Amino acid sequence: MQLQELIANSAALNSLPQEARDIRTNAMLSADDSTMQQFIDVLSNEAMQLEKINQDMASQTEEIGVLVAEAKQLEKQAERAISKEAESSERAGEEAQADALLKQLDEIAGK
Amino acid sequence: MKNSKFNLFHENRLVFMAEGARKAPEKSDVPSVKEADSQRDLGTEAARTEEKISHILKSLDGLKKPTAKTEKMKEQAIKIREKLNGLNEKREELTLQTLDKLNSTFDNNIQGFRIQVLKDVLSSSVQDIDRGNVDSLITAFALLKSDDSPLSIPNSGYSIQRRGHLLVLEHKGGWKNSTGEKMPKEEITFKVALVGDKWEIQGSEGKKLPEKFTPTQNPLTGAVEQKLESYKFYSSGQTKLNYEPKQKPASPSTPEAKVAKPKENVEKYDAVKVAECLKLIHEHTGAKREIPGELFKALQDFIKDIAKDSTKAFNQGDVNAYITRSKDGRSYRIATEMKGGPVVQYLEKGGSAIGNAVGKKAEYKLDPISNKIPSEDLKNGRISVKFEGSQPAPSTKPKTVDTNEPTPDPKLLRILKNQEGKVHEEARIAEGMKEWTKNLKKAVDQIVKSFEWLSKVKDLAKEIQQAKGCDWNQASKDAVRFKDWCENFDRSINLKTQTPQETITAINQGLNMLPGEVQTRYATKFKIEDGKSRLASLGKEVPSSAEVARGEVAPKPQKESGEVKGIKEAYDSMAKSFDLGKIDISNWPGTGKSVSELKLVLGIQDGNSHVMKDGKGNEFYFKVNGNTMELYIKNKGTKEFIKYALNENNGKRVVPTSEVGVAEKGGREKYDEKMEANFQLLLSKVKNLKKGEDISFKTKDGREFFINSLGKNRFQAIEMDINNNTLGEAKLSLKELANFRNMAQRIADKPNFKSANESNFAKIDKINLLKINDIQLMLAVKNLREIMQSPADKERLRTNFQDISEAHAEMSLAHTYSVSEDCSLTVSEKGIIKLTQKGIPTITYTPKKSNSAVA
Repeated sequence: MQLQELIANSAALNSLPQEARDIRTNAMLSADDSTMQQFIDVLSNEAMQLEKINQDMASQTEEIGVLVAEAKQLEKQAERAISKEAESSERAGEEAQADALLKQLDEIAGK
Repeated sequence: MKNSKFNLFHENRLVFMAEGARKAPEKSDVPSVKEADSQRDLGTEAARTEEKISHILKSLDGLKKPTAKTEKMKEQAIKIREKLNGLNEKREELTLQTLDKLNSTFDNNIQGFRIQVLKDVLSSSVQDIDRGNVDSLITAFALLKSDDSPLSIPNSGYSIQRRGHLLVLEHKGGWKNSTGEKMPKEEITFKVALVGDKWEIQGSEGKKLPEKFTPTQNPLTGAVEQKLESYKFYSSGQTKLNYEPKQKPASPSTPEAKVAKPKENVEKYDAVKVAECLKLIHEHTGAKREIPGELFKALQDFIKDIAKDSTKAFNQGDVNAYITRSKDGRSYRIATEMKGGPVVQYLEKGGSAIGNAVGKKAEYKLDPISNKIPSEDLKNGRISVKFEGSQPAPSTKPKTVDTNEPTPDPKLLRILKNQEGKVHEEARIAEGMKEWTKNLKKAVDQIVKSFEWLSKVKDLAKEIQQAKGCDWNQASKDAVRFKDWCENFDRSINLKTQTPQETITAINQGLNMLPGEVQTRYATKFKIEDGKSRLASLGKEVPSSAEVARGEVAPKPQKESGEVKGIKEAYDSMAKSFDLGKIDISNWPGTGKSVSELKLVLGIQDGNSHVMKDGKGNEFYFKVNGNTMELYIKNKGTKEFIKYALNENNGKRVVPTSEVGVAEKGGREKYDEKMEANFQLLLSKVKNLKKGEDISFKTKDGREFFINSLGKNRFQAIEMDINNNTLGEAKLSLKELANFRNMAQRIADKPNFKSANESNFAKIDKINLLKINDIQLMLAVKNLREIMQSPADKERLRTNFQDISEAHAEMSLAHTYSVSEDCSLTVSEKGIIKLTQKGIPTITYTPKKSNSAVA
């Protein structure tokens, strides 16, 4: 039962194609006690190391979270800046257009 | 208005990534290594992280006015990216390491692993056959190393072996095929072949397992049925994976035999001839065919260097074969394969090839002594191969062999019955001797069994005490001594060194431990004496080796031997009661005993008794044939024994025997002056015979003649064989009886005359002697009713009947044999046998070509 669980959780075995994984699973579960114990040792070791890797990755979670939060803030700032810029550009464009129209009107009126 | 590129930073996706890093992925969600590369493009966990960070960095880079804060963020993102990359590398490395370790574990425990897998395969196969079982069996095949010894599955009765691309399953209890017939061998063989791009397991005929193979008893589950059919599997590319076992099924086109061919044997055999021989063996279809001797010899040259319990592969052209020598080195098993053809046949004991699924047996005639092809066959360049029907598989268990006496080989006689169809007499007699000693051993064993009652030592001691009049202690000691002797009796028998007479002596020595009275009573009660007497009779009927060597096959009166004490006692007792000078033939021998009673007392069945002396120094012995008993007396001071023919109701004196022959070796037809002189002496007596009287004589080479007076100087001359059966007769005048040669020639000239050698009866009698004797031996320890209740005895009786019946039917000769005093066996011309014993219904045996039965 222990081996069955280890097999199910093994990243290595789960990396195999389904058919190959099933053959190996059956084979390992058919092994004699001594061999089965060795399979358990190997997979336990894998699980242990994988756990360590996962812990390392988990430790990065906080940093990534902070970074993401800051990135989000920056994103908002950027959005606001871009939006403001766009508004001002738009306003400037409108003003320029109005000026151009007034200028044309002045020219027409001056004629 | 939102720009879509910023959606990459959606909160949910970042959270998912973080959780994914903390725990093992769900099976269904985790991509395989192969899939990883493609999935990475779409964004695996790591890739997404990397992508996200890249976007952060890009965003930061895109800012027109980078601030210290954004620069710090950028630096932090780069660190995280590196760290995650490192962890992912570690993770991948761990995966590869784990697979390597699993492979190592697998390799280091391959044997146990195989056993477990195979056990599982075989165990599951007996439950239900489905695709999974088939794949498992293929997996098992792949796990096996080619040509390793058969792998036994503990406590299962199964073993499995791979021979090249053959898969051999063995079940101790044997197998049944789909029609329920027992398979001739304990193993079934499959062929693993690459068909197109698929691997298949085929039947031994190269077909897709049409058969259903069922072990007669499944020790794993107790179930009776097992189905092993329609195996298929697919290579499916899995061989590229690290975890694939190193051994792969060999392609039929590239058998491992090529690799395995031992280099050192290249010059020791003719590969082409071996291949030709194997082809012929391989191609047999049940029809009779011949294999040239030179080819067979080449095969023998090839196989002779194979070590015990090992396999040697052979490959030449399109012929592949695997030849396995047995553990005891005595037999070979050959599996052959032709490209595109069927696969397996077997050759065992260097002499017989047993086919595969059809259970055919091919018998290669070999010299039974040298176990080689007879030189004449080699010289002629051909040996005959005879195919027979289905045969039971020879037992692999070592047979219990009587090391004292080699088992007579029936082939010996067949071989010696050679070109001219003549039976080699000496070989026949030699075989008879072997057969006889074997029968004697059996009889002795049975007699020993009959001694079991002696465990009741106390009862025996009482008997001894009464008979001897001794004290109890002495009687007990005698009884125990006798019991010990009985228990160790068989140790005193050594057929290799003892003559039959010595064996009988050994029996007597045991019996002589008992007082005469007890001995007689117990011997009679338990038929010990009866059995012993039969043995004694046999000892005389079968000539000694020395007699055979000298060509003397006629029984002779046995000389008195000091060793034969048991019988001697009886004889002495008889002799004392005799007054040979006053024998009243009509009430012979003056003891009031019948012939049958005397036979019992004297321990005689058919044959001669020991020579005895009466109180006056006259010597005498008895010759017994059925219910006829002859008394031979030699009076003190004379040289010749006088013959008296006696039977239950009548006794008449016979003219004394004259030995007229000469004892020259091979001189049966020889004739010389001395012989004639004796004959002339005899004729002087013949002249004086009255009508109805007769005279008999025999030559020293065993010919016996009987001359009967018909009156008026007419005589009937009869030649008899050693069993007093008429070979021929002629009616002659005294003148025509002028000399021995003339008389013998006149008899021989008669159309019905049969020479002693050609006598049907003589032939039959020789053939049947052993069989009748064997029946006598059986009756020595059991009566007919008991015999018929024992399957083993009944079968033994049937075998004897069959041989006797065949011999008579072949020659259309009827005869009645006296088996024992109350039992006779009558054979008709057609070989129908009737065995009668007093108080038992007649047993009739009707010969059939097969499946004969005693009814």
